[in-house]
Amino acid sequence: MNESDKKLIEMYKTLPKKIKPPKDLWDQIDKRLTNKFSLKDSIAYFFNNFKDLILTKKYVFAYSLIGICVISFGLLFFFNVSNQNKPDTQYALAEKELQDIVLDYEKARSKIIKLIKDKKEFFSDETIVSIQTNMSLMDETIKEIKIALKNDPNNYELLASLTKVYFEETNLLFKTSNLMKNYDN
Amino acid sequence: MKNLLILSLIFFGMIKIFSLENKIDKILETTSNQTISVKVMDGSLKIKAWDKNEVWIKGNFEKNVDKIRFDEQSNNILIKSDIKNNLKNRKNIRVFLEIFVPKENDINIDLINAECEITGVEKNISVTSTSGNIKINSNSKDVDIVTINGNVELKGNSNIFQGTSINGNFLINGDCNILKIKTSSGNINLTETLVKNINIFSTNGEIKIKGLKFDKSNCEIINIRGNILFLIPQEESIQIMIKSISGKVKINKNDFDEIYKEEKSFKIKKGSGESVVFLETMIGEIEIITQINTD
Repeated sequence: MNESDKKLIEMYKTLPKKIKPPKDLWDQIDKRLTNKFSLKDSIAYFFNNFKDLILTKKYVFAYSLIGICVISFGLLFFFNVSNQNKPDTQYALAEKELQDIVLDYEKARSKIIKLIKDKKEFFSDETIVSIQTNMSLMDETIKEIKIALKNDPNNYELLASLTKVYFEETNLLFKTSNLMKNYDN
Repeated sequence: MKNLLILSLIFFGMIKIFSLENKIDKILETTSNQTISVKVMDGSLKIKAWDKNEVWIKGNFEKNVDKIRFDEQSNNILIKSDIKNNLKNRKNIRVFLEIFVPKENDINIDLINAECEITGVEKNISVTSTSGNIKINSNSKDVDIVTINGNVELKGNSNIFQGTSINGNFLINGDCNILKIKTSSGNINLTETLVKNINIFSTNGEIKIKGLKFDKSNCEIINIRGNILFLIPQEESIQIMIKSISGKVKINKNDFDEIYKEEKSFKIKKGSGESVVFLETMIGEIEIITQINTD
């Protein structure tokens, strides 16, 4: 800024505020120079210049879009995790897990009953009694937890224990059935 | 009278000898990538590791065993006792084998009533048994045992020990990185064992843990109906979480630095609590005793 520019600015400052330039070099600059914010004007300006914005400011636009996506996914993930930690959601998930595993348990159980029948000759009476007794004990344990859960239906701890018992006992039965079907002459 | 007794003894001795008249003595060449598989119904089996690249099978078998079969493949050697067809009952089918195996080979054993003893194997060991007892004394890699009624005894070291039983008991006296035992009614006895991770689940058995050495360990021990007796060395830095739904919990509060009690759970801490133990029961009893070191 040279000396003549500074003088010009000083002169401009002394002019009364009601005097305005007759023609703006930048359309409606007087409105933009005022401090009043107009949402309507801003939106109108955005739509009028949308094409320019995309063409000339495409990088800014692209990065903004990416930013919005990241924030949205972040919020979505956050709410999802928070929901999972809520007792109600945990309970519903455990119930769903339980439904799946009960079917596997029944399948493993039936498999062993069939193997006892088909391969009886390979196993001693003591072994067969042991398998049958333990299967009854497993059923009894499950029944006991179910009764406790019936008396206290919203007890998540009990439901988790029941799921764990089903899971472990199903694995035990599957491993036993694999062992039993392994035998032939 | 004396002569009659001697004659009877000779007679019964002859019967015994004739019933075990089938002998086996065979040597097979092997490479380290071959798994040595043994399938025996009844009798006893001793597996011993040696430094040779050979499998030496010696022993005898009873009259209803047709033969001992050898099936050699590029990745497997199978040694199997074949039973005679059309037997009215499964008597006299016992096989008594001693098998020397290279210590660097994997071992895979299927038994029904046969007992088994494994010594010195350094690779993976897998055993399934209906009711025969299993003894392992080896510094092996991974050990996997599935049994219905067989009792399992482990000495030595293993990277991962995985045991599954319906009614068989476990006696573990060795070091493991990971110890996993799942049983319905088997009792579990861990003594003087160094472990990094323990995962035990039992429905009805008794669990006794004595002199366990921890190394920043993580342990989960669940016994639904049975009891857990947990003896911890006095100097151990440990935190224990105990969950008892309808069972009993016995602890000496003075043995611990911190105790937090919630509705159905406890959290107790000794020292900085480097090792973490989770104990759970439904209706059993959990007792924790701090052991005074007598060394």
